[in-house]
Amino acid sequence: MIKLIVFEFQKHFLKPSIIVAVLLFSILSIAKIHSIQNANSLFSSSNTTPTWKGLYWNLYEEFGGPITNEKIEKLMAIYRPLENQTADRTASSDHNPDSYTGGNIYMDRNFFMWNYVNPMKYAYDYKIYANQVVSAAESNMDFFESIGNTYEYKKNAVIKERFQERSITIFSYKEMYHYYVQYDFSAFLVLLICLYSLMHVFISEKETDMEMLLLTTKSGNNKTVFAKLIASAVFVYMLCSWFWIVDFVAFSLLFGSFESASTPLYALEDFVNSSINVSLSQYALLSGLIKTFGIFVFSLLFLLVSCFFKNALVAFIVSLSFMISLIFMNEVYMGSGRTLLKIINPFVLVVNRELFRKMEFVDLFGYPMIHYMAAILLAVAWGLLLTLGITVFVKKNGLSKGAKRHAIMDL
Amino acid sequence: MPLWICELKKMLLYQKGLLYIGLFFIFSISSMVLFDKPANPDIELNASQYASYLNQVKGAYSEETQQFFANESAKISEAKVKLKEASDDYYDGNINESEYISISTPLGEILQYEIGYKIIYDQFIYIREEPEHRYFLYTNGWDGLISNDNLDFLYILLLLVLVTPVFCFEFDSKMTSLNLTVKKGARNQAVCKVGLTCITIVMLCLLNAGSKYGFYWLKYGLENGNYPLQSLPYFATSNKSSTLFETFLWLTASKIFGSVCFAILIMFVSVLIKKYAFTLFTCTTLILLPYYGLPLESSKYFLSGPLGFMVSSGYFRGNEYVRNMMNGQMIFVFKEVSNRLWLYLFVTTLCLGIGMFLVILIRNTNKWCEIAPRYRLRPLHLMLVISLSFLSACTSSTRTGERNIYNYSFNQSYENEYYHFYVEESETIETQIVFLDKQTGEKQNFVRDPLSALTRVEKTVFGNGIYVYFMKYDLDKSEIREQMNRLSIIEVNSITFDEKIIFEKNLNTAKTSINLLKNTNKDMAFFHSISGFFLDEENIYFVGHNEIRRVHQSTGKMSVIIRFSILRHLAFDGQTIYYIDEKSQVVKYDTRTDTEEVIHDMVTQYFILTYNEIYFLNRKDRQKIYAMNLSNLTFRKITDVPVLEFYFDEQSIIYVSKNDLKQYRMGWDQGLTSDL
Repeated sequence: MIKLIVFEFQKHFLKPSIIVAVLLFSILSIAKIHSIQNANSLFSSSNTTPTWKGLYWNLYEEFGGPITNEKIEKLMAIYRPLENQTADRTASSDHNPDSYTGGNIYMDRNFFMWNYVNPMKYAYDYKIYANQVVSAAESNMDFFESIGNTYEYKKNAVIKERFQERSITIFSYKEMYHYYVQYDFSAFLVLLICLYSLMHVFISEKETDMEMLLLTTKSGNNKTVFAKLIASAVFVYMLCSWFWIVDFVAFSLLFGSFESASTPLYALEDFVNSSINVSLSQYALLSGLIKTFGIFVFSLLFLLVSCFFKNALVAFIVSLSFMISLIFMNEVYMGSGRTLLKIINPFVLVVNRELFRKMEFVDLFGYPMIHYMAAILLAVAWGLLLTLGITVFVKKNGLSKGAKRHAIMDL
Repeated sequence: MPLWICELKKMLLYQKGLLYIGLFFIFSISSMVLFDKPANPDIELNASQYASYLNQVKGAYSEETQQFFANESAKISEAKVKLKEASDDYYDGNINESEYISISTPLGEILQYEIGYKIIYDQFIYIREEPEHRYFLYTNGWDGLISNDNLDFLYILLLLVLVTPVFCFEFDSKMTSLNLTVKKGARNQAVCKVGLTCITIVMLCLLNAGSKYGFYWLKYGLENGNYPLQSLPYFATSNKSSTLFETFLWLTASKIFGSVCFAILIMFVSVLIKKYAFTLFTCTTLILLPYYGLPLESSKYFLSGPLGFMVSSGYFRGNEYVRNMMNGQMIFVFKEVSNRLWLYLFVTTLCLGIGMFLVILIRNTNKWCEIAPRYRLRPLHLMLVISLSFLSACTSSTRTGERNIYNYSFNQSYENEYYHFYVEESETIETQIVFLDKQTGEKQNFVRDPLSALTRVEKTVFGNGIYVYFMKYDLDKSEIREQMNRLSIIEVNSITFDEKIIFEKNLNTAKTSINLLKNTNKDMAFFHSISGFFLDEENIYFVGHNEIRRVHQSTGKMSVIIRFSILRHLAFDGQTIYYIDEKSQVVKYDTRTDTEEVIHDMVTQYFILTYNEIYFLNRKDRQKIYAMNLSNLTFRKITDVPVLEFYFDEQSIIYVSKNDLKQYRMGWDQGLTSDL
């Protein structure tokens, strides 16, 4: 069996065209990451002068690490005068070589505000916020219990549990993760490669008219289908792993930092209401795995579509249309509170920050299920349905009898 | 049979070209009909008001136009003042009714068009910046036709499915070796194939452009095609001197050129690779990746190749900048493509096209016409069924039953059988909506979601029986600046306190995952200015600065139903909206029949609607409180003293007397008047 899988893998995926596409797309992805860094980073040459970066890392030695009152006082001792002087915007905006950033006082204020004061304030205040959430959830639990709404009661119990003892004790450089979690372009590239490479998995035998012959062999039929599915899964997994690793390394290198690996996910301001208690590096891994699974569901969809056609032309066009429509649907419902419509689409696993940045629930027979779990379950259901579809339709091609067989063979 | 007829038959019939073309036109026209939104919705929503002004200033900017705007602005503010004076005079008894009508009617007409003036004034400000190139015209038609760089995805799919099999079909059926032996099978057949494909594409492009032109002409009208291109804000900074219609012709020509190049590219790749999947993959990638992947919107126009020509409106745009908030410098968001560069791109793309064509000829293989195996439509049917099930819409649920009375001035509070909901504002804590349990007197937070970060709950509530509604904005912190993400109206069942979203509007212009969806909502300004809302079974009504808009809950269709220059007060009883117009009269607007009716003799600046009466400060009787019975339209006096303001609860009316500015409480039976 393993031999068969290896054989199928070699046959369909170890093609020069695929390898070239992977390499080219990796370069494209890196170029895209570079353009993101260049456009958004506070230290990129298009936004600020190089002194910012140097100054940041010099001060980082002093202010990075555990947040203490001493550090806060020291930071505020620098920032308050800057803030006071610029408050009424009457301070001179002339170039001042003695300023921290080598620009003017407004730049100094912005530097400290964006890089140190705001992030540190957010980190410092987070504990209070989490406590507020917990106490609000507790009072909700009492309230909903009193009016007999068990669903909301359970929901608040989950929120309470997730937010208990949350705090950010360490100040670290998070800009890289800030943009890394928003990055989706590589997933689009991976989907395109999958679309191309998987088209052939079932069609190649039809194109070479080997389909009939295959059915007469010992390991034809189910075994081959199974081997093809496993080989495809392995391929998707390898392809995704490669791209996610390239992304992560490119982000880290271009932003010039491997910091913040152990900082909690909710340290990112957009994830203030995050539903999971993991660190940023764990999140990167988790998000990669879920993305891979989402792409695998798409791959199954492509495979199923390809079962119906004798050549790749219409199969490719139909798969591409499905892919684009699902992406489109996802974009329509991104950020929406209509949770079910959002998570029914397997593409939500690919842009999975949507699943983790908020805490939303789906009603599962009166039990509140956190929506990322529901999304994964739904995607599993899609996957099973599509696999079932593939086995049913491929089998029919070979095994149906008489006129019926001809009808499908003619496709 | 001549060779070209055979090839044509093969492409259009055997390979189902006609079917795909037919499907394309059905989808593309129906999507235009269903999803087209005007570029400036305000113009459509206030069409007649706008048109009356446009007709007076249409065309080039001149001294007279400037004078016209100055006069008109003065006229409107003067009309407002005069109307107020006339109303005051009339209500004080200084002039009689016929005099009042003769004064107020023309003034009312002027004010009726005020919103149209506001829209045209925005256009005036734009035109004034560069009066030589910018003309006054109705922009929605031309904007829809030419002001976008959207890649027509269906069109790309159609080209792929039409052109790929031209050569691939023969490779696929392994007829390549056979056709070498055929007399007519050499280059002339390849020329015939390429020629036919190009002619088909040209026809297709022309038809497509024609259908678009026809659609926008029918829907909006495409007048004033001879006005300069810069009249449309999308091309504001353009340096090209061309008229609107010329631009449309240029765009169509570019699209034809781009599509033919794309077709040749597909054929070129297909003769090189001889495989369907790889050809399709390569061509899709070459179009989609530059389109979605490049950082700057204009970058795709700097590349040789078919893409730029297929979405060619960018060649007519000028430099556009925004200010970088980090260093205060101006940065490009769009870089202009100069004429010389355009020529260079055109020549290189043409050379590439010719080169590819030559390669096709050199590599060409063809075969004698052969009947292709017919695809059965069954899988396609299945796909359609699957796609239908994907797109199946959810049904909306409606609330019927007893109606609550909505008074705009009380939009921060609502009371039902069990609870009293209201907005609590204080200096120490954040403003929040709370509710009071009427039995226990206990006060609790109304918005129960414990995760309060990144949302902003607005200070307005609406209630209907046990259902209470509030409005919130979701925020996004994925960039340094916070952004609005969505506006939602949430329905809360006050028995179980279950929440349900009944309306959502995406307000985020920039952020999507891969940016397939270019959000160009122009009606967002309105959704940022909402000060209250109420709803009936089917619609939600939003109260903005100068208007009330009705949005259908399930279809999202929006229309302006009421306009006013100042929002004084309004009320809604489930079917009728009552509001105060410029003449201080109360107007009834029936939401079912969309008709308006002025309530006679009721002149006021403030009123409160109850189930069967309207309580108001009677302007005609020194601001004393009166009540009007809604069923028999009779008036009765409530107080004998002039009143500054009033409100009431279940037991009594509380008013502030104008005489001594003290607050009084009066029982409903009007017997007990006590000083508070």
